[in-house]
Amino acid sequence: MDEDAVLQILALLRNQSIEAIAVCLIWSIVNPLHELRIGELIAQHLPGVPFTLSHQLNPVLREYRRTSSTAIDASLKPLMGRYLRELDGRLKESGFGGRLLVISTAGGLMDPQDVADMPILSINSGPAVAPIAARHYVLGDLDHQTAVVADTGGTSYDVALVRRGEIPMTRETWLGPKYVGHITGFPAVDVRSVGAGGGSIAWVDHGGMLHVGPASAGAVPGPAAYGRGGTSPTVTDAALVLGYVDPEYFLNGEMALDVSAAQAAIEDSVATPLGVELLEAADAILTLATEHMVQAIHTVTVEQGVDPREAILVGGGGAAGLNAVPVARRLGCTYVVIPDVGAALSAAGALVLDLTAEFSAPLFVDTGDFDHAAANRVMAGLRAQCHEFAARMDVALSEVRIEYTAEARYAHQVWEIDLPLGDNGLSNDSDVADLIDTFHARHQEIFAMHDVASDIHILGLRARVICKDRGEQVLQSVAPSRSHPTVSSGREMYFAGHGLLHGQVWIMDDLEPAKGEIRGPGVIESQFTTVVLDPGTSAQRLENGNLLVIP
Amino acid sequence: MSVADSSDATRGGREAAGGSHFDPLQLAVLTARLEGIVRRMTETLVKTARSAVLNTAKDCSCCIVSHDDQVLVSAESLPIHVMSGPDLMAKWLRSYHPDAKKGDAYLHNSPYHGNSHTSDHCILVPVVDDAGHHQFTLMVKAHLADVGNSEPTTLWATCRDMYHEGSLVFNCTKVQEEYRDIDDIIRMCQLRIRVPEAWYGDFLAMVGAARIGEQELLALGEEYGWSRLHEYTQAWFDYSERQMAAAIAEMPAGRSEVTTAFDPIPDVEGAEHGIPLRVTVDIDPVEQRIDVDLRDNPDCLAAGVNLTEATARSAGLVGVFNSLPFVVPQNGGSFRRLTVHLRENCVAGIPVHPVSCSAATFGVSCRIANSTQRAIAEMGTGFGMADCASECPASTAGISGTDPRRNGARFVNLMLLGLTGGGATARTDGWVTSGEVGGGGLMMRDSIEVDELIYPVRIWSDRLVIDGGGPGRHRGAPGCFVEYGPVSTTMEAMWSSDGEVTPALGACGGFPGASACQWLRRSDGALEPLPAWGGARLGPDETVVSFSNGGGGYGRPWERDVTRVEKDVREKWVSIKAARDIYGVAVNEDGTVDQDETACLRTKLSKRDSKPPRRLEIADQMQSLVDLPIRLVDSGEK
Repeated sequence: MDEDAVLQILALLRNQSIEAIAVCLIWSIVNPLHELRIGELIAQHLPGVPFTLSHQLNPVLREYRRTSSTAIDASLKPLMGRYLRELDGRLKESGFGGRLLVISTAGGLMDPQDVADMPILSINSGPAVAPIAARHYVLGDLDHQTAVVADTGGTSYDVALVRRGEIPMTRETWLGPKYVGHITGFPAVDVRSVGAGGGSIAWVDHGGMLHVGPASAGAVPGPAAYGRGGTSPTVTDAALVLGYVDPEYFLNGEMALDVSAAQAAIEDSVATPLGVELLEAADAILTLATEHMVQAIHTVTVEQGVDPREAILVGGGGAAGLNAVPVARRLGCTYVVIPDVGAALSAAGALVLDLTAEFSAPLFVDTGDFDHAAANRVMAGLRAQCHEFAARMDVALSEVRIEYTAEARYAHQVWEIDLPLGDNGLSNDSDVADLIDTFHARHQEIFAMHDVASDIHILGLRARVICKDRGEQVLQSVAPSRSHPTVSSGREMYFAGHGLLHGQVWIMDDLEPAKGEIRGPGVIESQFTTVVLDPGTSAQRLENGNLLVIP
Repeated sequence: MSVADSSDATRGGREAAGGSHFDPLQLAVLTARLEGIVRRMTETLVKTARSAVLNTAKDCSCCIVSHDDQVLVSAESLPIHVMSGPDLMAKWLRSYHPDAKKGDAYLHNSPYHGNSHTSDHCILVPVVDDAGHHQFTLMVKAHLADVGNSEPTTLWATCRDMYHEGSLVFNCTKVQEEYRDIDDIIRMCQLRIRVPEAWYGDFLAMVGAARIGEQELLALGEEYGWSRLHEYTQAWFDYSERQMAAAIAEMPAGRSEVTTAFDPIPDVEGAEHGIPLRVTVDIDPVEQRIDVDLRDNPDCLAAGVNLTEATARSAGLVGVFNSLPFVVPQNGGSFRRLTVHLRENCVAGIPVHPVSCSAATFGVSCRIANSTQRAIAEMGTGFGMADCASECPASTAGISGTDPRRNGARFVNLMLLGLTGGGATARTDGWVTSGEVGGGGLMMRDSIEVDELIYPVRIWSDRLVIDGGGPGRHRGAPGCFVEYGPVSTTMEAMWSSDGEVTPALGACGGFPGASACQWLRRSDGALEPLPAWGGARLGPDETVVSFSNGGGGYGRPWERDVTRVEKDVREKWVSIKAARDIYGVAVNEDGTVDQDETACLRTKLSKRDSKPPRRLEIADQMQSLVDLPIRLVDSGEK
């Protein structure tokens, strides 16, 4: 390595008052000496400037994604380091005596110091927890172990999966739009987002086609019905016009909605340009939003090899209930569950997370001529890293579990799929034979084909260490203060194919668990959300407070 | 000379659509569903393919063709693959196989029957309902690493004709029946195509992608009914036509004619001094039509540079779509407003058997697409753009040989490095990683680590070239300096590089981007020039040094915002010398700008106001890159 050239660059960076440095060298994952040396030089010549070395952060093949990870991580260090230090200090000042933990993108809890060292691990961690919450609060009591978990907010619709009790991960996570944004290059809970939430704006283009989103009215000015200056019709406006949302009981009655403003917005921006009736236009807005949501779900289920017809649809977030039934019908799901923790699905999930860390290491072996010794070396290294982490976390070793994964592909392919490995790793021929069988089956499951004649190449191993540091948490929603004036006798609601019908209105808290079924058309109102039951749909409250809907 | 008018193909569709009143509310929903199907086909193909040209570079496309043989949906596909071609192939399929059955799949790569070039294999799957009616056609197209040419290259500008080119040519040949391979065809391919197991893996990936599309379309037909889907199709085409008409209505009226030249090819009659090319664009915002005329171009040549009907028309359409004021869907409906005039036996027209079209997706088609968008830019009202880099530099070579790490197993692949050089527009600098114009920015660069892992090759350098982007009010993106060679073996590398003599040209006073060139570096360090057409057989310690084109600039460089030039210098897009000489901005050694001197320099430059140079000379910058001590580090040891 030309150290003089490195020193020249460091001098230049000092002059430009650089705040953080990312170092990524080709093949540093195989030989990290030069990256380590550059790290030493930075520490010596630019003391106090945080830096990230790619092989330490994310030792994966492919220089672009590794560089992208490294640059994102380094860029977050000054801000996140400061933030976490201050947060910890302020909590202690306020008398907080517990242990501060931070949620990671991979759906685990981490020590704040570890996050400050690798802040990329905290990106987009909120949505990552939704499937963990769904697994705990919803699937725990049902026979199903596969779920599509949809979190509908004001601007986006986030979809994640639980596949046979496992939560699929991806390395294709982008900050911003795919290709145009920046890839994080890190394993993260596979969450896909589309711009289809309650605030998504409906509009008609020159050629007479309806669009919903990606622009959102957000909370300010918000939907036209908020009366805060918004004039563009949104999904929430459509739900109001269709009679699904009670203008007097929105957000627990804290905000009155202006129906005529919503009607005018939809009339002017959608119904008139399309030459259709107001109610048809409002229904079309919701239907198109539904379609965008269904496409987002298809993308993640197809890529993860899940058949949505075998999954439960779990609807979290404030706007989930508006069209959960049509989404489930399009997907062919048998059940929809609206969890009792409802709008706070992700936050509730945080209570059931474990202290976890993930480590990876490259391993280039193929099944044609398998190198058991190399595989054992890499396994041993990962195991040691996991135990070292557990020791630092200060929990008894009996509560530590390690899950191993191999990244494998057919010869000549370049995109790996993840395969679970036992504690034994790949130490003998029968382990490898098992891996081969699993690989073919998984490839068939995801891509509808496999190739038994082809060798399988392994590119790397990963280990995830899970440290349980407390007993099971039990969370139930706090009994809400009743603010609903009276039980309404229902109102007119519009359903495509039926027209205006008299719809019932039920109050969620009045539905006693495990007591009888109710049938649409109608809506169930709670202080956080409204669940629309289309004609032909039935629902009942379960023992645990969740709402089960049969679409 | 016979004249073919591309709009003939689409008129039938237009009349059939007349009077259809499709529920406007369902239009958006069905469009989202069909786009989803095409995206899932593409995803399957890319994730399961075996060649880097597919699984990394994404040189592939998927498309749904309507009942009346029009391009319907082609989300995320390469424009040069799908704007025109799938329509023609679907029509040929219907004429050869009027009785196509469910479970059939057809292999097609004939350049005379709607395909782009022989190296793009297509799988055509007729979507046949339970009653036996052929309702839609699915196309999966992939640029293969090898197709069995007489030399190990898939883009061969200098081959004499299709016999010399040498690949097997399939013309709607049935390759699956009742969802099972017809092994006779598979065996033919396995005997002819280099590295047959990788080819078969790619074949499985293509068929898998088509079958996923077929399953989903059959389910959609079941759900909506086929006649309703065909009504939707016509409504979607009508909508797209209205969008195109609205876009053209915003554009300037008039005619613009530009010329360019494909670089000289030694020993090819008619191309020794280059191939002069001419594009005429007529925009009629009143009638809302655009005509692109490619007929005034030379006859077909005895070389692989001839375009196919599909690529000639697609190239014209790419140039137009790159110049529109807003995004318009690309399908048979919007194409009704556009006519690309072609003639038979023309190098940028319709080829006649047995001429070769081996390089039809690059080279001349890039020149045509670039010239079309530049012609529109020269009309001077802010639409259109400068040339993107001409492509296929030596860093995009077909590489082949044997791998000593794998017991001498044979390897062949199209490497894709150094693809940068986006052209500038009236509003933006060139997109750095755009790659060639026909790819629409959708192709991916190779990963150096993946290339080095899979093939016995080392990539010694891959850097942007300072001053390589065409100067202008908006700057073209720079080209790349790439150096590579075999590791402990010998290797053959073949390319067909355009853009050494005539670089990517600027628009509205913008300068051209830097020219492409390539050298062989001997083991003793000596540099020898290499031809633009052909390649090199490299020994274990030899490398290819490749410079790719920069994109053209837009507007006069001395009108570029001074703070942008200052930033360009700070980030090393532009040298201090070029900032001064070309942009008229005096940047001091410490990075600050001398405002007084800048004003003075700019006055001088604007008074001169000469035409942009034909070439951008950056020999100093190139020399400094070539002189970099790349071998200081060997095998990762200090």
